[in-house]
Amino acid sequence: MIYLLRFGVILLGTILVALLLFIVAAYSSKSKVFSASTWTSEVIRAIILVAGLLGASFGFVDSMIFNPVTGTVIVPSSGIMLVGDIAFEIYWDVTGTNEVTMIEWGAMMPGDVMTVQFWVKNEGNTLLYCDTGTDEWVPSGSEQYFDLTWNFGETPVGSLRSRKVTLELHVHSDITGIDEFTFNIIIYGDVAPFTS
Amino acid sequence: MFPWWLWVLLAIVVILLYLLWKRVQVPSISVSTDKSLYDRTETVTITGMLIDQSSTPMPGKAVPIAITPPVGDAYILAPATTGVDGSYSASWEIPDAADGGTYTINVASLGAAGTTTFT
Repeated sequence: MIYLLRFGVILLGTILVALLLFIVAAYSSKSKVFSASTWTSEVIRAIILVAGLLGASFGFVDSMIFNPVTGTVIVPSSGIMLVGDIAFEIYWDVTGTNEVTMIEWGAMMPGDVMTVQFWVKNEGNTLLYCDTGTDEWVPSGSEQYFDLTWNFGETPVGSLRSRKVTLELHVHSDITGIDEFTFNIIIYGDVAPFTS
Repeated sequence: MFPWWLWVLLAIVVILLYLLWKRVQVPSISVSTDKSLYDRTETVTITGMLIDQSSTPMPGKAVPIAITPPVGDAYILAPATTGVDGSYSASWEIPDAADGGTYTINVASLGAAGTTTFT
């Protein structure tokens, strides 16, 4: 389905561009070739045919190159970076004995959502607000195929308290090209709320 | 009967097996409260034991304690330390504004974990 859709878009786009180029050339040129008398129905049909052939060719070549991931998408692991001038840590357990340093996502299918749960522990004496982000995507630009969300919320975690958080990684169903990715997860901590 | 080096080799193997056995021993930890039902502002006394696989007390070990209310974030208590008999204790005063419901206590030490609840 995605092949057909992409083929159709490229076909129509190329036809439109080709027709526009003909029109621009016709208006801007003083050549007799583009004079009103030469715009017979045969010429117009030929232009449309050439534009259509161009569009079909581009669409065909693209569909040969276009390579959607139909098997598994591998995200071996994501490193975790905590950023902020506030004492906080993340742990796999509520008691805070098993620190989270890496998240293993493993194999996912396009369209899958993978979830992990951990605890954000405020080890400081002030309120803790958190936000999340990602960086160092490999290959570069692959972040367009993923959404990373969490349910930390906008309320702060009190001093010496721990919040259970679910992190979700969604792989888009139209993911294309290579099928192995890595990225880092950044968790920002602050004493003040983050403005979105 | 056997050459001396064979006895030495046997002794080394026995020592290595003992060290390996000690290493794979998984301790166990218990946890309980002095009551099962509390009012707000009351103090919950938490006690328990940390023992190894052969039921030998494990003294001097830190025991992190977390109390998860029915709603909201968990309270993290200062880690307790096991005494010579492997026991530990901690107390927690229930806040005045605490929600009613079941609270879960989680403890952990050296890979062992224990849990109990109170209301």
